[in-house]
Amino acid sequence: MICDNTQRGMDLDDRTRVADVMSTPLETIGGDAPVRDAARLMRDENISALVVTTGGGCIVTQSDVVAAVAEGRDPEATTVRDVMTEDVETVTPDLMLEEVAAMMTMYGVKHLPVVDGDYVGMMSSTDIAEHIS
Amino acid sequence: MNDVPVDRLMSTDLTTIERGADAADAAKRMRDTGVGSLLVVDPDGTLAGLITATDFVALVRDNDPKDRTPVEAFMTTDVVAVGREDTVAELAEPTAHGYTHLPVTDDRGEPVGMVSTTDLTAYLSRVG
Repeated sequence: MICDNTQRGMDLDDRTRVADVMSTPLETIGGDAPVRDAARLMRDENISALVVTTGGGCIVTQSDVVAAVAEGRDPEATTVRDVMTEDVETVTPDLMLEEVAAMMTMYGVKHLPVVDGDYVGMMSSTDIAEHIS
Repeated sequence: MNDVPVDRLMSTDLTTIERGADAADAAKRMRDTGVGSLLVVDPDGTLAGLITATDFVALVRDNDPKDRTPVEAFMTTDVVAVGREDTVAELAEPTAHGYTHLPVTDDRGEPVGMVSTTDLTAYLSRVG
């Protein structure tokens, strides 16, 4: 694959890192919150994934909300803990954008929390797309 | 890679659902196929709208999806379509406005593909 690094805009030579494009501040939600509250927070903040404050690397994403609807769950009675994605991969702020893109493609995920000691942000495929297009 | 045409990275296995289907059916199709968007079509096959995961989030926030909400009640109708010869650079504006899925249409306006933020990410992982 030929990639001309001298093109304007997308410039692979500048070695863009996670810290340059990640979404901050990190939005969080408790595991006992109803799915409705997670949907409200995602919608109001215009974001697609939240870190769940139960520990253990859990996030709740738009795809988890889709699955809840698919299963006919009641968004008030169903908790975030019931639908969240557990034990997700994470990235560090100094990682190169290309490496994050490769991880998302390899694991088939759209979100990777950014960890620097503690959770500091979220990388989404949308963040990457906005940077390269 | 800004001058790469979208037909180099678009998905061509389009998943459609008919107007009148309910939210749970649409969610099942999205979950079971693993796609990030569904094209809502009229019985004659023309494009009526688009459903992404974001639309389900809005549905759950505002309504009860168990009420057999039809897809046309919560689908996105202001769909931004692109041509297959358009370049990645031309995706910048709709992407910046929050569009995560852009149908690719031919010169008759019929959908031939879909380019999403996931496709752009996969492309970067191959060229990076």
